[in-house]
Amino acid sequence: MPDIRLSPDRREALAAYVFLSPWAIGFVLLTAGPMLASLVLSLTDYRLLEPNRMAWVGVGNYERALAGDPLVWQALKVTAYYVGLSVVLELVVGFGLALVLNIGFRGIGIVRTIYYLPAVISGVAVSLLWLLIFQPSSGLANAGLGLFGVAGIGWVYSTTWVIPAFVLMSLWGVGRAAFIYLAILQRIPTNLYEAAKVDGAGRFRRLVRITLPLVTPAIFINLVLAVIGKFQIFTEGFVISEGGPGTSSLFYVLYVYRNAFRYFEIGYASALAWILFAILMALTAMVFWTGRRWVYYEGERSATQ
Amino acid sequence: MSPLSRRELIKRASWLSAGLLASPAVLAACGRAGPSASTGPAAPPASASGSSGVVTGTTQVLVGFGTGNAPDQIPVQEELATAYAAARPGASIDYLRIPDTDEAQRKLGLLIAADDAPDLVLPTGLYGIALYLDQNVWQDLSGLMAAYGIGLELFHEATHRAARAVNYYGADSKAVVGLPAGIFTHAMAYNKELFAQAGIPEPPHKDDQADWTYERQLEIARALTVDTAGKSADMAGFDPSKVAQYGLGHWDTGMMIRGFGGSVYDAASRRMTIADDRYAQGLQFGADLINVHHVLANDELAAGVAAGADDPQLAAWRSGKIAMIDMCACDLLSFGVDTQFAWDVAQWPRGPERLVSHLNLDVGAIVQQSDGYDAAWQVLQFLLVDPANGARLSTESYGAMSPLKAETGTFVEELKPRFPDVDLQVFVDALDHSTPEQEEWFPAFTKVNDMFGQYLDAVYQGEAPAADQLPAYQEAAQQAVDDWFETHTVPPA
Repeated sequence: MPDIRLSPDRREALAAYVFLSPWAIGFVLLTAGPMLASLVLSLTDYRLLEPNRMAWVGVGNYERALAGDPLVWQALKVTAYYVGLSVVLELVVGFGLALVLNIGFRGIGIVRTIYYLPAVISGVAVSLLWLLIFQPSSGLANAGLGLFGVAGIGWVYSTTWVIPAFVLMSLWGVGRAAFIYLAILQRIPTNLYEAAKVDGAGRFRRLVRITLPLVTPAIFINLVLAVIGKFQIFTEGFVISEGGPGTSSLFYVLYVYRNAFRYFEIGYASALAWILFAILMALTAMVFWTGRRWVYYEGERSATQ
Repeated sequence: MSPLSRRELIKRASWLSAGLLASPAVLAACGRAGPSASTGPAAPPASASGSSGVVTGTTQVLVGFGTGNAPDQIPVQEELATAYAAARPGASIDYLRIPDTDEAQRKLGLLIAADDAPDLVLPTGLYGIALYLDQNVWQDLSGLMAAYGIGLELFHEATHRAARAVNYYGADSKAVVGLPAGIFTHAMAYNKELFAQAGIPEPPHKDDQADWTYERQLEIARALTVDTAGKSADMAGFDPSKVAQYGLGHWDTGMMIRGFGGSVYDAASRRMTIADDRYAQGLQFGADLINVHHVLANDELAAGVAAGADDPQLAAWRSGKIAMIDMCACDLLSFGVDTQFAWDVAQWPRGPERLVSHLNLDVGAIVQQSDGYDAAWQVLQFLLVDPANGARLSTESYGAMSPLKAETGTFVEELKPRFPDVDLQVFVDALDHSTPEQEEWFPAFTKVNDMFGQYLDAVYQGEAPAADQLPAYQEAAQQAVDDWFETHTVPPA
């Protein structure tokens, strides 16, 4: 056998390739490959059960989606409405919850675990649970509101209330956001609060002047994750409302699914998926761009000092 | 060789990724060789010649397009599979069971695309047939039937139109999309005790009563809808927001559209007929039962009178707080059991234009992409044409009427021991006025059906009158139909 000697740098590079390869192969074959395939398919009229009918249509599917299919705009409108409400609510409630969980008391570990539990239980079972809660006549939500004299909310059966109902449901997973906040909150040096207190700053001022600026990295990451995650809402809409009443909860991914697996129009569904991808990329880029102005990174600040 | 710089490492990794990326993309874009893309009926496969040679191998039967997977239904199917294997050495039946209907219907498409299609779908309702009818999924059985001397005349006349899928193949075509496997008719089940308490005579069991109409049914429903203060819907002071008992529930107002003379599609002119006045009147009548007269419990309202089951209509009926429901024969083993009150069945009331109720026909259909046509045909014959097996499968397993003319009466005999106080003959008599129209295929079938909720939920919720919503629905549906005809044709006559 020939004697192959590698320099330490090459050996290191080779090791890097070897260790990276399981993930890289998985990513290429299971994520990037199908993504690229769907990009190609989005330029064709490909119907799953009529493969021989496949024809190259160029940007025809994109034109159809953006100029000829009113349901695409309806789905985008519904989804944007949901994302707008649920992201804000998650950021605010998550932060509030984190502040509470940051208070040290006996048994706090158990309380934190309990608040995080819903984040790991999700899917169809949770959707069915919420369906029972939002039953207009016999559900817990209206029973609770009834104590305050509020009656008759149709929730998931109402075109007006179905999205607010889904927004409230989205709080089920707020523990995840709260824990990201909590991780940052626990790293804030207590001497900052003590100094501010000495200077006469009250609780609210300490919250606004110290806590909020220092948790902006957590707000940023929660915002990015929430925008991407909420735009992809599917299970709840699929299980609970099937897009109704009418099209009042026709979430975008539900509409993509419908085209792919009810109408078997894979080419068109792929185009819809890429439109969503483009929207999410643009929104994420926008968040990153604006983040420069309002996210405070302690390390960066000190580096420039 | 010089060591790799970070830039070079990234560059090479990028090339490697690009190469790997390209291969699945190209493979996927090319697609597999699929079935013929011709839009006409596929030619019978060479092997489906009707040869009477010995057929061996396993025939996979997909069960999931509706009924067939309940625990009580499975033993008879398994016994028949065992009998089949015993009668034909080397041949067997393998059931692929998917309990959820939506999932089964979706899975069939994916199995076909993955070149792993089942040989048969049995049973499937006409809705399941219609989902795939224009996508070259079902084998036209007429050639096989002719070769084996089997005609539709073996089966009840009520099944013929449905089995021939006339909207697609044409009224004069000999094509047969599936062999009839079970007939389910509908009756109106009523709570005898609620009728007796209100002093209202029970509705007729024969369909020859001219005064048993939608209006009369509404009158009764108003008397039997009662609020928590005990006032009925025909009394002053009735509070529709506090209804404790409904006159009607689990009722398909869609069939009332047909009672008013409405229809969905005219195959001859290729026009959707949704905006027709009769359709609008029927739709509005049904919606008014909920929102104006407050006598019909939809799912939301049914959940308000009885909670505790997955199906609020089932819970409401079983609780004894619904006076009249639509009872499909296919619901006998759910809505017909575990009730704590006496009930019976009557005929559906007569609409202003016609007396009509649902006919749900189940068939057995061979999947075109199957690679075992001859074996699949042998299985169909064994299970559905053989009188003893056909009657057992339809009646004992599916709880349906046997579509075989000679065996239709076995339905009453078979189910009488389970429902001794119910006039089961009503279901048999209903054959005379039952129609499968509600499940018949039309172009862009799935899309137009999805539009129903999109445009008409507002009508059923009382937010908009039918006349306002239907023109937009008509326009969108007609557009979908026209689009379909741009890329497809119906088979030549």
